[in-house]
Amino acid sequence: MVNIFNSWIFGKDIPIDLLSIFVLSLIGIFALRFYFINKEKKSNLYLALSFFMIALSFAFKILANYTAYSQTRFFEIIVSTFALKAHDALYFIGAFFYRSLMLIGLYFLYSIYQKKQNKASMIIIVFLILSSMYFTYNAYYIFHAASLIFLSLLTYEYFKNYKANKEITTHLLFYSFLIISISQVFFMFISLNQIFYAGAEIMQLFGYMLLLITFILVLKHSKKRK
Amino acid sequence: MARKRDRTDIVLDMLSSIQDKGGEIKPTHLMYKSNLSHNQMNLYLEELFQKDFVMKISKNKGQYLSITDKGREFMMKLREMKEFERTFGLE
Repeated sequence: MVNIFNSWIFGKDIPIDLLSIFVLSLIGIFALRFYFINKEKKSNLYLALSFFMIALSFAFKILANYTAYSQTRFFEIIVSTFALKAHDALYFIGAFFYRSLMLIGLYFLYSIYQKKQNKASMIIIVFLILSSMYFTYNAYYIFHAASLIFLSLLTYEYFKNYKANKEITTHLLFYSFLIISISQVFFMFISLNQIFYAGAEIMQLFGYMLLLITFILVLKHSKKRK
Repeated sequence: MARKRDRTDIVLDMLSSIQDKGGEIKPTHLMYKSNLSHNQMNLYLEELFQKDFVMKISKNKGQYLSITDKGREFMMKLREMKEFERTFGLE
């Protein structure tokens, strides 16, 4: 990854990732509650699982970034080879699970909107995601490109939903996914300049804040609706 | 084309109909307001009585159906669920 770990940006991205975890978990908890009200409808359960998976992926991102940061700090003092290897392993675990859980979560979320869901092909895609994330460990942009594809497809689904059901909440949901999708373009270029990383994190912050506002409006509108 | 009502839509329509009438409604009015046959309504009512969402009361020599606090709370949860599903395109 880029040398963002000893730059001014590092550390400031943790609250953004924590906010993302909070928003995703909150929506996931409500979706799970709705599933328990009507167990016949599985889409609420799948949405909850997808959001929990993406939230967990951000927890691994924090672990990976924190490990990389502390390793950079360790280089400033003399450390044993064993300590470095332990750090490498921890960073690999964090980065691998961050990327894999994010892509699987996005894929599951996208699958909700597909009429035909074939379990066998879902297993194959999950396997392909895991293996590609393992073998493209050093090519981080592959992960962001794959995230961009899934997020763009989801944004299009939410755009269609907004067109069919013109409400402020569907409009905001479309915009929040659009912003989160664009953030992936910025993430793809972080090796060029660390400003791309800052830009991507700020866009992620706006995207998830908009998602939180959307969710608050959903709860507020439900009280007014007859 | 309008979407076919599922079970939770029907329960929400029934509870909302009672609530809109000030919390009490005659069974025949509920049947018309929630677009159900007599048999269908009785089946749903059975469940609503069991869960203490609705109760029978006698008033002015007639039978009325009254929504309980638990029923009102459940109605709010159903409304949240419907709004959530509408927003995320899960309907």
